[in-house]
Amino acid sequence: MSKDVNKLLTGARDVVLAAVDQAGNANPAGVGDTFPLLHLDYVDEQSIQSDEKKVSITEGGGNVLQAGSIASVNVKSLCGAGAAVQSAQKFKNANCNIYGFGAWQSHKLTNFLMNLETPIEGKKGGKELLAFSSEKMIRPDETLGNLGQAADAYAADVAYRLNNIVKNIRQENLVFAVYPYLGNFAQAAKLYDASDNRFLGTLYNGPIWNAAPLAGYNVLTFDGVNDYADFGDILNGDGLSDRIIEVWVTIKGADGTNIIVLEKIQNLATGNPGFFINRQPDNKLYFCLNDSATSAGVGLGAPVLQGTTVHMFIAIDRDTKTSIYFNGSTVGSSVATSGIGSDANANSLLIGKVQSIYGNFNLGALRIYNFASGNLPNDAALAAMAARHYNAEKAIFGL
Amino acid sequence: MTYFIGSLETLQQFFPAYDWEHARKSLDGGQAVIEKEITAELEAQLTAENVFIFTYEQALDFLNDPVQAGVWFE
Repeated sequence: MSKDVNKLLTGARDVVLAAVDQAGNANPAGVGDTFPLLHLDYVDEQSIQSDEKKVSITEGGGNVLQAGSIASVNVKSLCGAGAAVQSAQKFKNANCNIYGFGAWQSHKLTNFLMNLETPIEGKKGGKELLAFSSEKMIRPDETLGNLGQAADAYAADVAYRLNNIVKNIRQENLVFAVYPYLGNFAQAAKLYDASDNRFLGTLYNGPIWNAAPLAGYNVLTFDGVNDYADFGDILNGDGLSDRIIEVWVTIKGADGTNIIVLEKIQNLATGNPGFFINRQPDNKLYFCLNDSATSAGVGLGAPVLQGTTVHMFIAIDRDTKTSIYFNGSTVGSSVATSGIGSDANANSLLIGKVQSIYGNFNLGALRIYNFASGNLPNDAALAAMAARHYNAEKAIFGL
Repeated sequence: MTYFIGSLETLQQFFPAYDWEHARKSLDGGQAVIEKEITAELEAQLTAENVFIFTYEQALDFLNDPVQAGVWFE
């Protein structure tokens, strides 16, 4: 049974499509490919509600469809990553916004023409129920809570896996999120930001997608010779907004070498506004925030040697201090950052290099949250969040 | 994959289509590192042009050797 999704989605504000097939691992690129429809919000009363009687909650003046299982969607119109302009033209008469995840997510598509292979009446006649979940943002301190505990289900159950992707990317305050552990969505030379910003990173000189310790997951390996990712000049701080930077990394470079993980700065010297994360030659992981005159650095007291995987959670409160948590626990002393001004600069956000220094490591995930000045969660909430995020994802990395 | 390290000008002559803008270069810009599949013929030609031909581990060791301070890293 085929339906015109343009009619079904009348009034819809935001739809997230996963660029994976039903097995969760392929990129739909052609007519006839299928991929799951993950996410739909605020549907007009005259569309799905009135036709299908599926709406059970009213919120914020709109109707929120309830979470369910995931339906297969058949691509009627070709809209591959290489046909973005063509696609945008096709979908110009939009009254809903459709976002893709993975290879699709840099495109904000509209008026997407599809045939639903699955009737949305539900599981009548053995058919699968069309899946929707709420658009409502999830606070970063209340998500990622069950990923790790259900790692086996996460790996084996596509619906569970994709619903958790949605949970990951629909967090409040999330401004940057790359998830190499979810794979490359058949785009080996790109790194997709899954936040609402949809930044697109380019991988240069061939970082390799390798298997993560937990079956079904990946890591992105930067070789320390010449590999890096470039996202362009994004995420400039204003000196006032608070921020959390969170990264899963496995150190692969030899002990005693300087390993650049993440940076947005001209170079590592004081006097250059920006920030960076590295494993220093003394083998200690380190975060540094600079304005044009002042530097504040905070690091792990114990060395992180070759082969070690860590979850690094850095909470930057611009009114007071920066604290750092490793593997879910606070370590070392906080450093005052109230005196650090704007770290804005014109440099690209790079993963894997700064100037002539490169990093040899595996990247599992990287998230950045921005909070309005004074809105960073308190210390207790930060500690709980760091622990929860670590526990949720550690199984993926063999911890 | 094999790593070639040598004169930027020489490597550009051998591999004009390479993405040189994003290739790693020495601090003075005169040398570069690229990754390519090697053939016996190519190996002979590059060796004659004083280009180093390294495995990954050899390239990593070479570039991180303290004697390369001021050449490949600051």
